[in-house]
Amino acid sequence: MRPRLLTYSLRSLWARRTTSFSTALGIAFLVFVLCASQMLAIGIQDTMLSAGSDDKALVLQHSTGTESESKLPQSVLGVVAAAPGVRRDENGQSLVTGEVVAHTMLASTKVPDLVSTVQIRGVAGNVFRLRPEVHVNEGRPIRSGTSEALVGRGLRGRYAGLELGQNLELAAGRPIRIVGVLESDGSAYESELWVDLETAQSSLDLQATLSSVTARLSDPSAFEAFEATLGADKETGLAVWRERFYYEQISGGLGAVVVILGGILGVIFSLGAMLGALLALHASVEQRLPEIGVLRALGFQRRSILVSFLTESVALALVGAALGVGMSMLTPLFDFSTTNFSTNQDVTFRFQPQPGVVIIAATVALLAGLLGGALPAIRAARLDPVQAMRAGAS
Amino acid sequence: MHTSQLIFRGTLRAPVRTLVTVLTVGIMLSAFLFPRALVRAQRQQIEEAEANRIVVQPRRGWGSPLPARYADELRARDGVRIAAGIRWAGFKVPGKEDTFFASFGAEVGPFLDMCDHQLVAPLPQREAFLADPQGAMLSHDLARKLGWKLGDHVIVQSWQAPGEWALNVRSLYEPHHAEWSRNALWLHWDHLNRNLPSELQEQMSSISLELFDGSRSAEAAQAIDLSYDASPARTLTLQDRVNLVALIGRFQAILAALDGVSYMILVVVLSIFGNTLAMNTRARAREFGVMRAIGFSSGWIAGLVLAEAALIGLAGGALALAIAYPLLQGVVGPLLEESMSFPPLSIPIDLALSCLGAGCLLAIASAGWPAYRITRLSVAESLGRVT
Repeated sequence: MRPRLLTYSLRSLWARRTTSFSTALGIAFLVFVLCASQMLAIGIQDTMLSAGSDDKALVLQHSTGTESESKLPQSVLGVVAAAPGVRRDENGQSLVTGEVVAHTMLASTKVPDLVSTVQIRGVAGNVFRLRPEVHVNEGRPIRSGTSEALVGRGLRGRYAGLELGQNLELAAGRPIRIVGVLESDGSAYESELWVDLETAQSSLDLQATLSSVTARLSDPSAFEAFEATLGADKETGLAVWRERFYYEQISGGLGAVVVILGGILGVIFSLGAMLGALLALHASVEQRLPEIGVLRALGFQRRSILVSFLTESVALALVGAALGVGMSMLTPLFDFSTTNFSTNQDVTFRFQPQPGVVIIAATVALLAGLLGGALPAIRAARLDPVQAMRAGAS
Repeated sequence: MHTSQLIFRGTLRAPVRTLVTVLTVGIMLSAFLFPRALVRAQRQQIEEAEANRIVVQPRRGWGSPLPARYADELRARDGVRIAAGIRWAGFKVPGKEDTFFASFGAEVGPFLDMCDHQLVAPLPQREAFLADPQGAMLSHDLARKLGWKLGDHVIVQSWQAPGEWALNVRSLYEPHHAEWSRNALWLHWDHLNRNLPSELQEQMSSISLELFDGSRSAEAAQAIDLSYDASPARTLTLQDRVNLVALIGRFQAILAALDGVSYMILVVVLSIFGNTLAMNTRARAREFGVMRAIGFSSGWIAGLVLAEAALIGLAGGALALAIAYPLLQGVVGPLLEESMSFPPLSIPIDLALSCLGAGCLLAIASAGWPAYRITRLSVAESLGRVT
């Protein structure tokens, strides 16, 4: 039977379990930081992008970057409805909707003294036909022409007045009642307050004004013709966006900041984990010099010794990675609300677990373990058996 | 041999191990520093708040305007000592578009009355800035970044609107308890306003008020909002402190996450120290035995171990500062400043000291157990351990 060193490696990790555990913990934190920051970046993208789709087009005022900055006359709705490429319903009606988007500052109910910016969307009666992914889960939809509102799941209860059944004033003395809760699979709409269009227009002093017109296209390729027609009319000064592209634009900045911060922390934690593994393995070799000498004297090859110590570091990395992944899988339990500085609006994001992220993080952990283990393992393998056995007795 | 020499040489007994430890701890603690710097910046904002100052903003949120006439109306109110309207200018310097800075058109007279104790500049410069309608006032830091000197004539453009503004650099200031102004430029509101497209004229982004009686700021804020309730541009008036909290508080979750990470770092550092220091003392058990045998007390030796640890920790903390400083000033700070309008980040002296202290304390804490073990061993045991 060929003697095996695998159990030896694992037992020696167990024999130094405090050291082993703390090293694995360092690696676990590395994996956690990498996973969590990537999951958040992906979550930000998902939240924003799932609000937009390829077969919808967004019409804004020319040279404005966000819906809340854009001002269009109500008449644009008719212009867009008549444009080529717009899908029609069974009654021959164009699937277009005009909306007013504005912000209001509300006091947080969670963080004392905090005032945040909440996005309000004044929606027309046909909004759910254009955004079928949004639905009212609790309460009921708003009735057209009434002072009623739907609150996004992500905002609900977090700001003053934004709980089902509560009232909110956009204009003094005109309470708007929250009658339902919006859900749309985590998209950015869940961080909005939807109010009846006319109520929004009159309360926000935006009579006969729209911020955007959204059109459902007959298919994604119809966008070119649609854009060519509307964009060409310099008189009206319209900017035409693919809805998905618009949401990409307004989510890019925040996503980038999370990726950069996560990246910097990731590099630092990688170095820390690698050097931590190096120190732990180095200690482990130092302590076991006589043992290694005996193993060599018993006939174990240099290669076996090398592999044995590398196995130890890989085992440490694997334990650490498992721990880190486990920790990061808890993050989706928490909502992450922050201001999207592209639009200045408070948005609730979720951490989005993905296999790719976990695999990358685990690979980095494994590499850190291997690199950290390499030097001590090479040193152990190159020991002279006689000197090693005497090392303890010097 | 002096004790200090003994300590120093002790740390270099296993030079590679010590160096790797210092390196690791340095790197990790640098990552500890930058979340702390953010949290510090947030706290500092709050400390910088002026008790008798309130800020009137559009209830529609940042970016939507207040009519310029509000400034005059507010100035005329009872209890208001000064009212200064400010409009965000969004300037960029042609050819240096990558250099981000905050820029504002202000009603300069009242603005300086209110803030000259915070933006400290020589009196003649201040007078020159006030007297020149095209005058600009900026921080020393920003002037250095842009390569501008007093008396320079410069042209700037805006990200918000077409057009150009000619400015004369009239005053360079140093912020005093006002980190928000460390990377900023100010010009006369009239000058900014005149060159803007007509639909963007006569607007203020916010109006700062100084009250005669700071103790009544909450009531005053409420009264102001109430009086503009019926108008299209409703206001949200916040006490300076609340306003500053809100500015950074928008990113509370990011701050909290980074804060959490900074504690993880401490745990990792503790474990790395623990490893190294336990190993150091283990390797030197015999040496300590000899020292005991020739008359050093076990307490003295434990002290030696702790002192060596403290020295290693101090070195790690110092390295962390050396790494974090350029990282924060060069990468993280500008990123957060530009995208999230954070105040410019820095590592103030007390934060630097606390980093050194953290290194030291963590090292001492993790050396505690090995040191204790030494005191428990008898001389014979520690000598015998290695035979």
